[in-house]
Amino acid sequence: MTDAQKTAMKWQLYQTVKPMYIFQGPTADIVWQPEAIRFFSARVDMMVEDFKSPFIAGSRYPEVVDRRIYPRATSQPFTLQWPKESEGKTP
Amino acid sequence: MRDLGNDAEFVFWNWYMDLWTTPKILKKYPMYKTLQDDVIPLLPKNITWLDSSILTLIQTFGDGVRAQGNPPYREGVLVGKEAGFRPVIDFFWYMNPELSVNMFPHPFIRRAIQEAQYARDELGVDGVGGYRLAPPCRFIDDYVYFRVASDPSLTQEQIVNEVAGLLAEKPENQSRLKEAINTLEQFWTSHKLEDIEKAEKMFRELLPEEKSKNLQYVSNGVTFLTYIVRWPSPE
Repeated sequence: MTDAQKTAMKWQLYQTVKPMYIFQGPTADIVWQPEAIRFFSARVDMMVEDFKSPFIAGSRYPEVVDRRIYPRATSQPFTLQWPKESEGKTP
Repeated sequence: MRDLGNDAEFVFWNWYMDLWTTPKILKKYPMYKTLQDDVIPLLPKNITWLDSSILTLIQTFGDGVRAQGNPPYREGVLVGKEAGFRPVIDFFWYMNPELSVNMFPHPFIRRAIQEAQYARDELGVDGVGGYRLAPPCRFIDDYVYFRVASDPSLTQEQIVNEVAGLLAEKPENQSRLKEAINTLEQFWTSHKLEDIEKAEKMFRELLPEEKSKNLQYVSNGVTFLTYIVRWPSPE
């Protein structure tokens, strides 16, 4: 995707969510639109970075935790039993 | 809290105290090595003990734990319970680890059921705590949390049936909404663009036929999220 295409997509996103009541903060808290778009653009970049981070889309443990890693709760020190890489993502 | 029979004077957030004893921290602050054990006898007894579970640690800090050499951990909720504090609370921090992308709808249905059953069956806690930073888009998430907090035996199907009944008045729309919610739940495991686009379309197409503001907010959030998923990585 070229820079021009990214700019166009971000503008389309801005125009899509600006009328939405719950997104008045990121789109319209700053009245002067050129400045509002700059802040909105920075916030979108953060969201994209978050989404692709190890915490979200890059997580090996996205939702339900594989109990093979921690089979039983204990107040004693327990070494987590991580699956081998070849076993892939947890369910 | 008083109305629920909690007579603690204040809440102590243990917050994975063992987790922070990394080699780097220990080098600078050697006392961290025994901080968890040292702090317990110093606390007053009339506190609520709150911690997130090891399951949440695995989910949110798993890669960090491995990077630290996979040191052993204690279940902090049980540490407080066995030290005699009451009430003991399992803090569902996984609901919203503090990132801006977490303002978007994320039902966590299966995860909520897992954590609630773990809290009941293995931790034997007195209660649970929910957590998220941006409630407007997260009606479904909140509903799921509150329902499993009161009844961990609920199934995904039961919860989705209930929440669909709250968000859509027309029976024919409720079945479409259930599919949308289940597809959104699936997206957060698959992270596939086609899943979020399918959910987005289903939510959005219901808006002209339904009056619920909460449905509107969820749908709007999913629309915004779809752009984020579609986006190429920042340079």
